[in-house]
Order: sequence, then structure tokens, then C-alpha cells
Amino acid sequence: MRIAVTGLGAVSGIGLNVEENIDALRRKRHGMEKPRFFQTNLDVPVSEVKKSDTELKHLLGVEPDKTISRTALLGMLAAREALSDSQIDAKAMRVGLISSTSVGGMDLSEVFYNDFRTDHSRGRLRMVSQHDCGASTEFIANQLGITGFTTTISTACSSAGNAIMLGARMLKHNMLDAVIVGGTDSLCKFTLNGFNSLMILDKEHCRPFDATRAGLNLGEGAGYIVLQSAETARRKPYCLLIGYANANDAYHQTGCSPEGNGAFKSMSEAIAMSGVKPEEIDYINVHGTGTPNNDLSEGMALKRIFGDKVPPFSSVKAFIGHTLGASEGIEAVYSALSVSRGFIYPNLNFKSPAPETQLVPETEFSEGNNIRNVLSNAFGFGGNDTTLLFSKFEE
Amino acid sequence: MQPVFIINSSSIASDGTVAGLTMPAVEPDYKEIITDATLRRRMSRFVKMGVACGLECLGQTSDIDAVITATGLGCLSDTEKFIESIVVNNERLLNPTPFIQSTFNTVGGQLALLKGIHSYNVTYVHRGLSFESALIDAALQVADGARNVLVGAIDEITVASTDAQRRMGLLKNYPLGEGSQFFMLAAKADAAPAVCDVETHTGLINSEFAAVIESFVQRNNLRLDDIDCVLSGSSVAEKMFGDKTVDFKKQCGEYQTATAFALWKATQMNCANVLIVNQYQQINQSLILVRR
Repeated sequence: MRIAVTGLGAVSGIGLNVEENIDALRRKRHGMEKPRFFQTNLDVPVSEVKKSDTELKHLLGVEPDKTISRTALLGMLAAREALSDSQIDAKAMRVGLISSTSVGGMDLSEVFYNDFRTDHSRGRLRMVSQHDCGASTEFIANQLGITGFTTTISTACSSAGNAIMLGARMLKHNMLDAVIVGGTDSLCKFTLNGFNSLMILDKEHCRPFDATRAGLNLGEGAGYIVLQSAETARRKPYCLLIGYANANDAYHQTGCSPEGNGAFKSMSEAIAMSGVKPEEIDYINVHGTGTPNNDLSEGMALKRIFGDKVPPFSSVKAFIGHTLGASEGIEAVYSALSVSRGFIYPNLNFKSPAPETQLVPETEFSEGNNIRNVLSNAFGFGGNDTTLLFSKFEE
Repeated sequence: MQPVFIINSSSIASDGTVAGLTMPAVEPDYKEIITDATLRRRMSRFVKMGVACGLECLGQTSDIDAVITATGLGCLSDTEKFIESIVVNNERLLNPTPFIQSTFNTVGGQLALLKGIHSYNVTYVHRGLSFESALIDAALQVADGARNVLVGAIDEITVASTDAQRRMGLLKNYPLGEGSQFFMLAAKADAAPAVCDVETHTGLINSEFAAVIESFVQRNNLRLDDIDCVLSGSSVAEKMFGDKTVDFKKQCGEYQTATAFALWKATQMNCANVLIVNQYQQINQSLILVRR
């Protein structure tokens, strides 16, 4: 079965839909600034979605006083765009939803906890009833009228890659006819302080793959794609998903092995599954968080696979930040468009290569390139490494 | 679904004792299982329960091609600890350990790390369908050629969670439970119980769920009479199957991954056809068929 990508939806700090995202990437307009809506004492840049919860509810046609986590709101917006873009009839097919998130309703739980912590009889319960990750997924399913198989994955920063993988596998086993897959995460104190406590947040704008890179910037958003068999598509697919792999680095709970073992394994296995040769890969959307550790490990893995012929590659993290559970959802959208419209995205803030790898990412936006295959990486805590391989759709 | 055989299993669960509003798990001596003292000290109860149970199930089995975990609420105690430190220390100078261990895939990651397992590793976090989702993924892995697949679930009781769930009215029918169960699945095994089908639903009313149960049994070429025992966490099953039902949540309490306990119970029984019927808080409904 050929797994086709037929719908795209994205919301991030650089746009509320796919076209706004691409426009910002084209103009090199990043989303990094001091938070407007999200309250924190930390003085670090973040890529925040530039709408308040109330404005997001208005866009979604949701009553303003209804309590819904920001994670769910962002997910509803992006998943709705993807479903409508695919032109599938959700009533006539077995349509599933596989979503991922790393924080779920934490933005609301933090508010609840302020009242609850000293007195467990206090705190508004509706603020904590969406704490679990599944709650955001059920809000999205309800909003879209999805009654088929629905689940939620959480493997930290690689979550959405794994959601996409499961969707493809369920289609191949004829358990679904179409599936909306991706992830959503909102900014919250929990993750911002978590990454700060690990000392991997850059107080400046992040610089993926640069020799002076000093950490990551967090972001928020959501990204979903619709997968179905190419034979049932009602519109021309953006591309095919022909390879995927999930491997574990098994090196450290939060760090990556210096030689990039897990990344090497996930990329190699995705390429092997697809049957394409490494030289047929024309662009790589790297994970490229901007931490010294990730970019070195990923760079070493790239060198091990491609030798001195590493294809054009870039990280979009300096545009949208690291959106954690949403990152591979949004980046899968960008990768699908790289194949269908020949886009290569700029890696902002790059000046000089890391001495260990000497790898130089793409720094300008270009379009109309002949992109046959795109590799897209997402790596996370727990040693999780997931790679997807998107390929040109031919009739 | 192609049947998957349970070649090994392990469980850390309540012995049925109710303590106030909870049914705490009876924990083993972790020193015997997680031998690294420094590592053990750093682990929360949730992580210790999951890692110990996972290691017990792994035993000496090699060729592990997938590690799949499930949890409803994840590492709650570490999550609470880190939120508390954010408030108390006003976002300054925080200890990262509870943050690191609060990640939902901590147990899966630790098992990979401790045993050097570089294969597929994923974690499901979908309310009352978390464990069922993990089982479905595990069955797909086996169907796609995975040799041995480790699948398990973990949830923990905390004081805060008990108080919040009591206030939400979630503890009316059963006390709050916790525990961890792991299963080693493979494509073939002699005389081992097999998971033959899994189905998940959301938001069904009782009459719809009853119809779903009937068609699920039929789809597996069985009649309702052929089911020897029903491990039930749903009033719908009790009405349909009467005396054949055993309310498993009276033994383990109510929590999102309680069906992992039910599956473990099923492996301990000598019945040809066991049906696990669960309903999590009128939100999620699930069915698991285990045959020998």
C-alpha cells in the first residue's frame, strides 16, 4: 500500500495556518520574543502562538468561557485545517486520530495547583480535569467529529513522529481508511522551568548547528497531517510516506550518545525501509535543537550515513522554537511541502560550522528544487529517536 | 487481529486491601531487582514499580524488538514535586531530577537504558485506553515480524491525586488503585494464553456498548455462551454475562490502566475464553479477548 499525505495543518509562533507558516519561512521571519500571554519570571525568548486563548476559541467557534487547555485549542486548530485540506469524508470512512503531546493540560493544572497546594479542598476542578494527555486528543476528536480509533502518544520530543508512524502502520494493516496524525503542545511553566533546570535553554536566540550554539528555545504549536492509501485520495497527495523507524539510543535518560547511535539507527532503518539510496535524499529536516549535545550527536550520525556527501539540510527550530510533542507534527508538514513544492528552509543564525563535523546547513529559503525524498528527524528524552522519509508522489 | 501469545508476565498490584479511599500496590523489595543503589534512590515510586516489573518480565529473554509502555497519568509524584518547586522557589535554581523523571516515557527509556535495548520504544497516554493502545501496537509489531515485544502499564496513587479524584466524584464505585503489569508477547508459543482481539471506544452509552460486545464476540467466531469468564469493570458486562463475571476492580481499584491488571489475572486462569470488558468512568470502553 502506498501511504499518501493528503492533508496538512500547522499552527506555530510564525503562523496560524500552513500558508502563514510558509510565508514566514520564506521571509525569514522568526517567532522568537518575550512571551505575551504566557506568564513566567524566566527571561528567555520563546516562540509563542500570537493569539490569546480567547482569540483561539473565537477562531474555533468555541464559547469563550468554556475551559479548554491551550494544548487542546492549538491542536483543534491545526487538526481542523489538515482534515479540511484532505477533502476526506470523515463520515464515510474509518477515520482515526493519533495525537501526541508532552504536557497535555499542564497550563491549566498549574493554575489549579496554586490554590490546591496548601489546601486540597481548593482549586477549580475543571482546571485539573484536563491534566492527562488524552484529554486534549478527545477535545480534538469531538471538534472534528472523529469517532474511529483515537489514541495519544507521549515520548517527549519525538512524540509526533511516533504518532505518524503508528498511523501508517494501522493503515497498512487495514485497521483504518484514513488517519489524522501529529501533535500539539502549549508553553507552560513546567517545561520552560524543566529545560531551564537542565541548563539547556539559550537566553539568546538559538543557533542550531552553529559552532557557538548554546541551547534551545522553546516554542508552542500543533501540526497534523492526514494519511490514507493513495488509491482512496480525493485530491492529489502532497507526497508519500515511504519510510519510518523508531530506535532507542539507550545511552542516557536526557542526553544523546556522542556518536549518535540512536539517530544513526533510526535514519538507517527508515532509509532501508523506503528502498531509496542515500544519494536520492535531497533534503533533511534535522531535529537540530541548538543544544551542543543534540546537534553534535545528530551531525555525527549524518556523517556516518552520508559520509562527505551530506544532502542539503536545515533546522527550523530558530523560527518556531522546540515545540516538543508538536515538533514532528509541524515539521512533517514542512517536510511534505518540501517534497511537493521543492522548498528548502533556511537555518537561521548559522555563522560557522561545529569543529567536530564541519557541517554547513542551508541558510536561504529556496523553492522549485527537485526534491525526490526528504528525511525528517525527531529525537527525545528517554533515548527516543524517530525518523520519517517522505517521497515524491507519482501518478 | 493475529493472535499474540503471552510468554511471560509480571505484576505489582494490590492484594485487595482497601486503605481509606485507595488500594495501594504491594511493592517488592526493589533492592533485589534494581541493584544499582544510586539509581534506585533517584527513582520515584512510579519509576521503581515500572522498572522493577519490566525487568522481572524481561528476565533472560533476548531479541527484544519493541518496548511499549502505557500510563494514564504518568509520573505524578515527580510532576507534583516539580510544580511545587516552581512555586516555592519562584522559578529559580530548581533540581532537574523530578522534571527528567516526570516524562511519560521514563520507564520505557530506563528499561532500554538498563538492558541496552535499541529497538522500537513508545509510550501511550490515552486515559482509560492507554494499555489497550499499547496492546494494539504490540500486536502490530508481532504481525510485522517482531520476535519478542515487551508491553506494560504503570500508574501510581498520590495523596494529591486521591484528593482531586475524590472531589471529582471518580472514586464513588471503587477506591483509587495503582500498579504495574508487564507482558512478553511473541508470535508463537505452546500452551500460552493469547491476546486474540482488542477494541477501544469512547463515549458509548450502555446500550451501544452492549451491542459492541456482542459483535466483538461474534467477530471472533464465538457465541456469548462460549465465553468462560468475564473480567469486568463495567455494569454492562454483568447484565450480559451474570455469574460468569468477576469484578476485577474490586481487587485492584480504579485507575486508567487497570485492564493491565485484568490481563494479568487472565493469564493466571485456566479458562479457554476470557473476555475483559472495561469502562473507564463512562469515558472510555474497551474489550480484550484472551484465549487458551
